[in-house]
Formats: sequence, structure tokens, C-alpha cells
Amino acid sequence: MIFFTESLPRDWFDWTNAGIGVVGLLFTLWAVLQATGAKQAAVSTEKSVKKHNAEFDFDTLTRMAKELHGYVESGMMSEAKLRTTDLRTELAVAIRHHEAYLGTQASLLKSKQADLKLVTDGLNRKADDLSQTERIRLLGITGAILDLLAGQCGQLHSATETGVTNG
Amino acid sequence: MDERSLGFVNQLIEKTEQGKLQWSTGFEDGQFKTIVPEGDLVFVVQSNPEMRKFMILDNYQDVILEEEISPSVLQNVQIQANQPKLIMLYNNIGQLQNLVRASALKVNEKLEKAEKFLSAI
Repeated sequence: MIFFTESLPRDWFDWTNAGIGVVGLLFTLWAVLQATGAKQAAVSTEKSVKKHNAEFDFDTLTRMAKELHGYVESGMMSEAKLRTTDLRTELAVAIRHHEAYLGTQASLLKSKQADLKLVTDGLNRKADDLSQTERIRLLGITGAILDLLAGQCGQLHSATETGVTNG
Repeated sequence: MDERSLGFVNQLIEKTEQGKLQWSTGFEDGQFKTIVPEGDLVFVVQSNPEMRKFMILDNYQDVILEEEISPSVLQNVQIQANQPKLIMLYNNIGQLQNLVRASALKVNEKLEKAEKFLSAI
């Protein structure tokens, strides 16, 4: 009780001090709120930049897959061999960088990576000596990779526009 | 030859017979693969007149185990005498390849369909 009565402001000096204290507290609260907002904005911007990067990378991969499929369709096996190696490397990097935005598609993309590994090995051994069934299978594999990457690209694009991640 | 290869091949035979693994065609003729969930491991089996091959890939498609056996190697008398496990591995890869081929190409279902078709005409 003694402490309470002694801590009450008694003159203009005490009242000024108390006022300054309250104003200081309000300023601190305002600064904390501003900092929280700024942090949220920074996180949101970072996410948006990452999504744009993922979209750009998968757009590039889709173009590579399209080229590869075109080479296979035209029977240009030496070019297809080189493109397969490039696509395999770039896809591995993209999956590693953007796995968070791929959701359930990540395991599908990994299975396509396995296909690319087998195709790379096969083409390195006998690019000009493929059987008819191997050529048909190769067309199927490159077509499926192109479809999957194009679909992934579309999903990333719509996710960037709506702000929703895949999966 | 890696001693563990035979164990893996035998386990794959067992799990495939139990219908626990889904196999699909690879790229080359006679090549089949199965990918475990999440794509962390890939088992590949391949058989053709020149060789029989068994391979395990990791999640980055690096080869972590590979066995490739040519039938001509097995004709070597010394290998026949000293490496019975290599011969066993060769035979078991062949057995596994037959099993996975039936599974990947849905051979039984297609043969049943063919029988039904023939009996219906």
C-alpha cells in the first residue's frame, strides 16, 4: 500500500515522466508491429521469388524436353543423346532446388529421372543401333517426360498467380 | 561380384512372386525397372543373349550396385569351379527377369484375354 501511494505521480514532473513513458511504450509497440509486418512481407517476397525461379527453371526444362522429343521423332539420335544428358542433369538440379514446390509431382519427376538415366546409358552404348521397339519406347518416354514437365510448368504458373503451392 | 547382389536378387524374386512390387519396362529390350515409393531407389534387371544385368540406383540415379554377367564368362572352367555364386546369380537374374517381364507386360492377363477371344470366335 505504501509502495502504491508512493509510486503515484504527485506533481507536473511526475506526470510528464509518466506521459513520456506511456508514449515510449506506444512507440515500441508500433515499431514491433511494423517489424513483424516487414518480416512477413520479406518472407512473402522470398517465396514469390522462389516460385518464379521454379517456374523459369521448369519452363527451360520443358523446352529442352520438347527439343529432345523432336530429335527422337526425327531420328536424330546423336542430338537426342546430348539433349538427354543435359535434360537429366538439369532436371536433377531443378528437383533438388524446388522440391518444396513440387509436392506429389516430385516422386513422378524422380521416376522420369530414372527413365532418363536408362535412356542415357542405352544411347551411350548404341544410339545408332536401336531396335524398332526401343525407338518406340524412347518416343513414349520422351513424350511422357514432356507432358509431365509441361503440366508441372502450368501448375507452377498458376501457383505463382494464385499464391498456392502444388500438392 | 558383390556378395550382397545374390541376396537382393533373391529378395526381389520373393517380393515379386508375392505381388509386392510393381515393375515396368525400362528403355532397352529386355530391361525392366521398379521404383520404390518416393523414388529413393530403383532396381533394374536386364537380360538378353549377350548379358544379364542387375543394378540398383539411388535417388540421384547414381549406380550403387551393378552386376553384369556375360554367358561366355560362365563357360570358363575355372569360374565354373571357383565361383558357384556367380553362376547362381546369373541364373537368378534370368529367373527374376522372367518374373518381372510377366508382371510388367501383364502377360497372364493378356493370355487370358487371348484365350477368351479365341474361344469366342
